[in-house]
Amino acid sequence: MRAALVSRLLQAAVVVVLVVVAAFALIRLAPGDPFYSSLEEANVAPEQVARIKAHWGYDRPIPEQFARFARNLAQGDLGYSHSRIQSVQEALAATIPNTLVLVVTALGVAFAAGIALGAWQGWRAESRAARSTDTLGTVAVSVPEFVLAVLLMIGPALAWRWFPVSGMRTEFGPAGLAGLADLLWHLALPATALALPVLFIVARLQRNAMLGVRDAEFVRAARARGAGEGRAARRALRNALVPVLAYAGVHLSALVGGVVIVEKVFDWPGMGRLMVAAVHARDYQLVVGGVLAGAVCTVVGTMLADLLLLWADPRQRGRA
Amino acid sequence: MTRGARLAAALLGAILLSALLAPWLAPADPRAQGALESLIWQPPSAAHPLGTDSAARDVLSRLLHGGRATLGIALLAVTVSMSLGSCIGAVAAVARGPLDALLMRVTDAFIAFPRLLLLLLVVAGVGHPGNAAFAVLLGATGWMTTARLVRQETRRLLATDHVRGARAVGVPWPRLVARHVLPALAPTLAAAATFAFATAVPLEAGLSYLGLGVLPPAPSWGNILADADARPLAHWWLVFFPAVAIAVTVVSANVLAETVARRAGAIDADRGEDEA
Amino acid sequence: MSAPVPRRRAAPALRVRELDVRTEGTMRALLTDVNFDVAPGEAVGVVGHSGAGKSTLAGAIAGLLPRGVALGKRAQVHLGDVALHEATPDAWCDLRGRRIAMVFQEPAMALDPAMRIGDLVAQTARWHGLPAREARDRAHDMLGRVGFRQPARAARAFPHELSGGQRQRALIASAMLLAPELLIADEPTTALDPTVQAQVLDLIDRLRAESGTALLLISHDLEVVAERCGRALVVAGGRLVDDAPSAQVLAGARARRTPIGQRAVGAAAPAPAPLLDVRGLTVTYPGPRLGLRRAPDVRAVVGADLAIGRGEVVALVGESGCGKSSLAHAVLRLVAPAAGTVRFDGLDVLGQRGGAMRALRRRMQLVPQDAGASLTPHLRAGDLVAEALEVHGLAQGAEAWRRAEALLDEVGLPARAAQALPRQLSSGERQRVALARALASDPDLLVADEPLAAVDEAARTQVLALLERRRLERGLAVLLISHDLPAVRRLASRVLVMYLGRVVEASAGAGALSDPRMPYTQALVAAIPTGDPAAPRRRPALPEARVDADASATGCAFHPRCPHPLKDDRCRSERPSLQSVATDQPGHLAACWMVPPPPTS
Repeated sequence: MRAALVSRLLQAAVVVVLVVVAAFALIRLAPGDPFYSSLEEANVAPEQVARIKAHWGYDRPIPEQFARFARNLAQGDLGYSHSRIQSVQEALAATIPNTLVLVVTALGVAFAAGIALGAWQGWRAESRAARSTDTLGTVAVSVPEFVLAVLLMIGPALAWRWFPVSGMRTEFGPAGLAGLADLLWHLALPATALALPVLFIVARLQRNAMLGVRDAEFVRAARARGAGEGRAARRALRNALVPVLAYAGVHLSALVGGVVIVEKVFDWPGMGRLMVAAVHARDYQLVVGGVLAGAVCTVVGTMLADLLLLWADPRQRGRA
Repeated sequence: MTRGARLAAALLGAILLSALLAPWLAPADPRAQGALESLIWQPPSAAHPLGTDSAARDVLSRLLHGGRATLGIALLAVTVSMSLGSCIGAVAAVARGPLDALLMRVTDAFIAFPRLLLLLLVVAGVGHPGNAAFAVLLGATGWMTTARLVRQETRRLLATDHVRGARAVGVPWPRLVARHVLPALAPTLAAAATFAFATAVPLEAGLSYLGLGVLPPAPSWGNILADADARPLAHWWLVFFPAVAIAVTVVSANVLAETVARRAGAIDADRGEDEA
Repeated sequence: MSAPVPRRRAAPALRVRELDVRTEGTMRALLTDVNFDVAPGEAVGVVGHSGAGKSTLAGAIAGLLPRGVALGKRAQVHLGDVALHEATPDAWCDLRGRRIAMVFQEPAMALDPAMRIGDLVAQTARWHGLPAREARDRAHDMLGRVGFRQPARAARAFPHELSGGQRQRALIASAMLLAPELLIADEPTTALDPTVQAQVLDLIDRLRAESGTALLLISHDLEVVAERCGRALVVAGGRLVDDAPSAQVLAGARARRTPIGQRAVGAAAPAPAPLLDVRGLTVTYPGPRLGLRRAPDVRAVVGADLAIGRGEVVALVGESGCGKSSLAHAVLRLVAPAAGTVRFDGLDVLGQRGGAMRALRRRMQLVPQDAGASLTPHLRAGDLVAEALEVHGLAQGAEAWRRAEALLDEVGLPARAAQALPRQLSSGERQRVALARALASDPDLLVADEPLAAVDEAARTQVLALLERRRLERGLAVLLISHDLPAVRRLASRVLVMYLGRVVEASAGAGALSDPRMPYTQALVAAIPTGDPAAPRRRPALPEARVDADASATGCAFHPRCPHPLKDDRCRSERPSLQSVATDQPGHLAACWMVPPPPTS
């Protein structure tokens, strides 16, 4: 078990290192050196530009540049954002938590509801109720969160005014518990747009896994020991979670991508919206910082999902 | 094929066909701006069945031509990503050892970057490179899952008992790969390609929506949507029709992909089942 | 027959009347009008061909029929005083585990992969009302009773960490925990090695004796049933065709078995230039990855010598994990050996390249262990056999197809089989397609790896007859790998016994099997069911092999388990080599310090 844990941590560490290398490569290989030229084009003061170039080793040989790059990263220094006139680190620190709130809520709801729905659909696959939700699932799973966001915007938000149209909180709004309610009210639509496709994918995966497991010999053996429907279903689900958790690990990266557009549509003050503005402003250093942050978050999230998988599938604990 | 799958195939076919025939089907030039100021932002009417946009251009025409752009880019992107991914995956599977490990770690690193963010990075650095190059870049950021899939499937197939059995009989490698391995790989690849298409379409539309993909005045489903940005409810037709077009395309592609995937899986699952 | 504990009640433990089982919808009858009783504590066997309905019968009694299958309306099944055919789901929850228990064929599949076995065994008790702590204690106690030497430690293990025999013991523990009145065992030992089989069956008998549980033992192996059960129910085509003392049923079946032909006569030493000559073969596999390191290499075969002459049948015998498949694959160069030489008709097999190797392959063919899996799923049987002809240039196109059809006919398959995909054929039929494909190129040597493992009685006879025919008519030499000792006895002119990668005993003819010298061979032969009810008590008790057993670096590989009363330090420190056991049995060799060498004259 320990070997499996260590190996996963090491794998994650290796990937992070490779991510840093890849980011560095993308910076250096971009034609026109936008890492620095974007500053000049934005009319940043020449002395400041010179200072930044020295800090990142502009004229130095490549290996030294990389060393500086890595060292700066390790110290949390990601560069200077000319469009926001603050360090990249500060800009990200202000917005990443908001994105995390959105993503974690959406994923949490999507997985919890998806697992429940899928398990029910799989266990009781013959019932008419379960079968009717099948078609809905196939359709709902495919609608991209982008389209959902836009449709939710014009419907429940603008047309029917059930939910706020933009932002994360009401300006000068309430604090405390009422403030939490206000947050949830603002969270509802963007989180739904993000969560819905994932929910139905998870439900379908869970349903298929459940279908495969419910006739398994060990479920029959559990019945032979005296399990009723409920207990048998629980043992089946416990084992059927494995492929769903495996999906979580692999597809996390794709899930994060959808956040950007949803934040833009709902004007959510998160990292995604920041990134889009940065691209338009050609604030290259901010974009690089954001991409790195996004990648690292994905690696950490994937590793957590992997650890969860280790819990769910004891067979993987012995191997590396 | 189920009824649903047949419907999906028909819808997708119709959409692709309409995109292909856009120059002949569109009632107006998608870039022709209306002469009168009063024609901007008109809701659907007899003259303009899907309304007009901020520059009094006919939305129906823009939707048709936009489909050409969006779908064309998506198809090109899929071609690039499938080719690149298949090559890398196959090489990794056959070469094994250190080359395999290296390729897989590189793949892992690229997978860690959320695809949209990677595209943002590239666009930020390079600016907008034109539609074809944009499609290639789209494909260049999406090869990773295919590479993993091809590597996994190839390794699995090479290790199967039936490949070993054919080796024992004495079947030479070229014939073995052609007759015993590739046909098993084809359905998986077909499913993967269709899923890749279903992912590429909203990605292109999304980027165009953000103003980073196909740039106006050239139409794309995404930038038609963006046109309504300031007042999405008032100009609902600019939101609704592209959204539906995207949704129908993606849903149909996914349903088809699933049918193909199920066929591929069924071939696998039946292996070794006892009838006695 | 194992002695049951007599119970006061005279009423039968199980009474089955007019049992019908049908598929819902199509109303196809799987069982029709089955009637029998089982007395308290009695052991009754259920035998018949695969597909006859034995497992359906088990499922029907336990209320565990598959989806879409149900009892007929007139069926009446009584467990003591309870009417099972009318039981509500809640009633079943109480009955199963407490009064009726079931043990399944594949212990690997029947244990919940995500549960520690201690929890699983305790679960039975908890589900029937015992408090958690008491359930846990009883579970530990039970694990000890089924033979785990460290019950607390075993309780924390997951199923994938245990061997096949250990898993089956855990299942038995969970089944017998609450001393049920009836235990249904559905092919409990089919997936296990012979020595482990014997242990598991002994365990079931022992536990039954302590708790007075009746047994319904389902098995296709008549000898097993005759040894363990007093009565046998014979099921064929969904009907109960016989209900008689098991010895009688066995005798009847033996009388009906078709003879295979002349039993191979033990030859003297092989012809001077054997067709296949293997010396010092060693095959290793890299160990599994453990985190960053790798476990040491697994040595599957160590220093094996083997020679087969034209027209000879040499058998390689041993339990799973002994290296026989690895040896076969290495001989055919499907796996690269780490050391040793393989000569076929004078040619160095390991050194051939390209076209020369292909020409060699034509002459040495393999029928793999899981033959069905060796057939490419998207190619038809006819295509696969024809391919063998085309690849070796023996025929092309339509001619190849014609000859393929003829070959399939020769192995006893119907005409439609050539057009069929592997998944449309039964496992026995797939086995024979693989055989036809192997024989297509008219090889001089056939390596048959467990050719009878998945095959039922009828097809077995056919396959053995075909091999014998080819041997006599075309001089086909066969390397027969099997742990099916009766088939080996019938076919082989020489026998080699392997244990953990090494040949530990060899004989001309079946001497190694009829007069085994080395303690392992003795235990192996003794473990094979013979149908004699007194046999189980005479067997030497063999401790179970450890899961990670490996050919140990020093000493005899078998010594940790060896039951020989005189085994000593020499066994532990020095590895014995193959030596002749007696001057009057030329060719009978054994590697054991306890076997005295013949006096040198």
